[in-house]
Amino acid sequence: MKPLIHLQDVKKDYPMGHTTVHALCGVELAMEGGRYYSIVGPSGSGKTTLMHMIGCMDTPTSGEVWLDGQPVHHLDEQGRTAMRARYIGFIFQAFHLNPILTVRENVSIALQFLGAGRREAEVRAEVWLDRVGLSHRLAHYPAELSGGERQRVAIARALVKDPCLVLADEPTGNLDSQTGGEIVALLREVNRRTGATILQVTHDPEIAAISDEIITFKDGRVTGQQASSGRLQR
Amino acid sequence: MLDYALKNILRRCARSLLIVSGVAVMMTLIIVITGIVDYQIRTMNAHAAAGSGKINVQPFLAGSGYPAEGIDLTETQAEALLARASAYIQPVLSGKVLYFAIQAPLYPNQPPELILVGIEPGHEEAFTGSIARDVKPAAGSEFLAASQTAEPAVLGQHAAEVLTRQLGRAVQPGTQIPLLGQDFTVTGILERSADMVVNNAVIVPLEQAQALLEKPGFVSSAILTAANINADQDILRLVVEDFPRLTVVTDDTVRNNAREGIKVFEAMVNTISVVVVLCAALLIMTVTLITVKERTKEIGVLRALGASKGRVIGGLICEVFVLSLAGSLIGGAAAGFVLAFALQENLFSLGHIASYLPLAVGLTLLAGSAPAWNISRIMPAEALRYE
Repeated sequence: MKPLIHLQDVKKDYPMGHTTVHALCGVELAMEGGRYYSIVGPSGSGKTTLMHMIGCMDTPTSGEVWLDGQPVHHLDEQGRTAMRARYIGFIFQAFHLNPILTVRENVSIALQFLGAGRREAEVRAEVWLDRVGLSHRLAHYPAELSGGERQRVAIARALVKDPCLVLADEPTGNLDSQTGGEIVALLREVNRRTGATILQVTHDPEIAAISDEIITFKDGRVTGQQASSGRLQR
Repeated sequence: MLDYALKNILRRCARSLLIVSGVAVMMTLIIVITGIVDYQIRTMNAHAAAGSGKINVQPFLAGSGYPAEGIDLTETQAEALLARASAYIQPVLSGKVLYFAIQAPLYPNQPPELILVGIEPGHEEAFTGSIARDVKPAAGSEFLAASQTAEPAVLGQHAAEVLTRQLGRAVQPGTQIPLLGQDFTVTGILERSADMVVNNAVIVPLEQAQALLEKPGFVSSAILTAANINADQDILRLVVEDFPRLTVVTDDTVRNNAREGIKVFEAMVNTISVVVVLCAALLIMTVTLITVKERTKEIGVLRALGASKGRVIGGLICEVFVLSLAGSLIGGAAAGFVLAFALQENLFSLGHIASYLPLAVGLTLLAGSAPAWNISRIMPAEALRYE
């Protein structure tokens, strides 16, 4: 079976003044579709950079990144934008909801970037907000929501376009442990119900335990890939 | 994206107000400056074109300005000149005159707002132009010579309006007006003239003007009206040969002075306009740059969600366009009020705004495009890392 994500000798260097930081040092990785993955590792190990490479948010200095059989490392800016719009949903640690848009608008805007009409996008947004339990918060602004609710909006925004891949960068990092547990449980449920591949970055082993596979990362390299329990360890 | 742009404008009101104010101030300044310049040039042209064939002979040291003020010639000299030129002039339309600025001009290169003109009764037309040709007293009023009043004054149209404003009551024949500490009775108000000096004049008998200004035996100039079309050359030759300390100011001199004045004025105003435009562009660019920088992360998120570079730039430009349009319209309206207040004349027109709208909107778009383009080139990952 062809992997959904395939990375081959991926390197990423950042010039920092007179020196160069090697964020990724020849990453080799293969991930199948429909599964729940966690990348764990210490801060500064390159987890987020790896996620950005997979999510077409940045380009590797060298190496190849294949997504659903397509060589995304060859794509130009326009091609990468189209990939992000169509195939990838993002969930960020700091939620990154737009403060001037309502909950409904924050979710529907992702569909509008795909060319959906405003009304159609809002109807689909409402469906997803209902699934994450926020149908009573449609007209609220992000500032009026709790941290957990904001992350639920971010999840709805990532999933409203039915992506084949959801990238979650420390999705529980800004939440208390109980809310964090609820959020990863929701992600797990979404993974089972929709079949979307979920790749989350975390440094919390308990949160990582909910995934099917855990990839350990250190100093810009994959140091291990092993199956997990698939249940929250709390 | 228009929807998103409008939401941004409304929700980020401090930033929006700053840009709208910048554009409005720029638009107001430009329209006010060019409006005043247009008005100035129009009045200066009218003033210069209103030549009535008068020849002012005045002290050489007074230069070629009209009306000459400050440097006097003796009445004896003026009388000698009038006598010597008698063969070439129309006696009733010629005479001695004393000028004194009661109120300074509102704008540069214009005659005083109120000017005292002392002239011998019976020779008023030497200054105003002949009744048949140029200007005459309005119905119900009369010249100095016909008046039975002890201290008569004949007012130009604008002088009457200025005095009405200052005294707070209507000035008409029979009204007492205080002038430099002495009361005069208005005996006549002239019809509007193309000559601004005539419009602004308060004409009183020469003797009373001399007494009022404590200048007995002195006048500012002698006005000579040529007897025929060729006589002005004879007058010119006569002055050059027999009166070397005097100089001749003709309609041509006034026109040339006005042309020079207009040129200098236009250059000055153009420089000010360019500085205003540059300052406004800098302000708009700075505000846009700051707000775009401040929104780097937000733009990074939009790009991560799949917004194309064009959509991001389009949204930002759309915002700037709406703000600049609002600023231009507010600035145009404000300029209309300022002009109406400053010039006491309604110069406001939608056409005026429309002619500067492309400049204001174009400039704002130009100033806003650079930061928008710049930010759209950042990789989404980099934008998300931005603090």
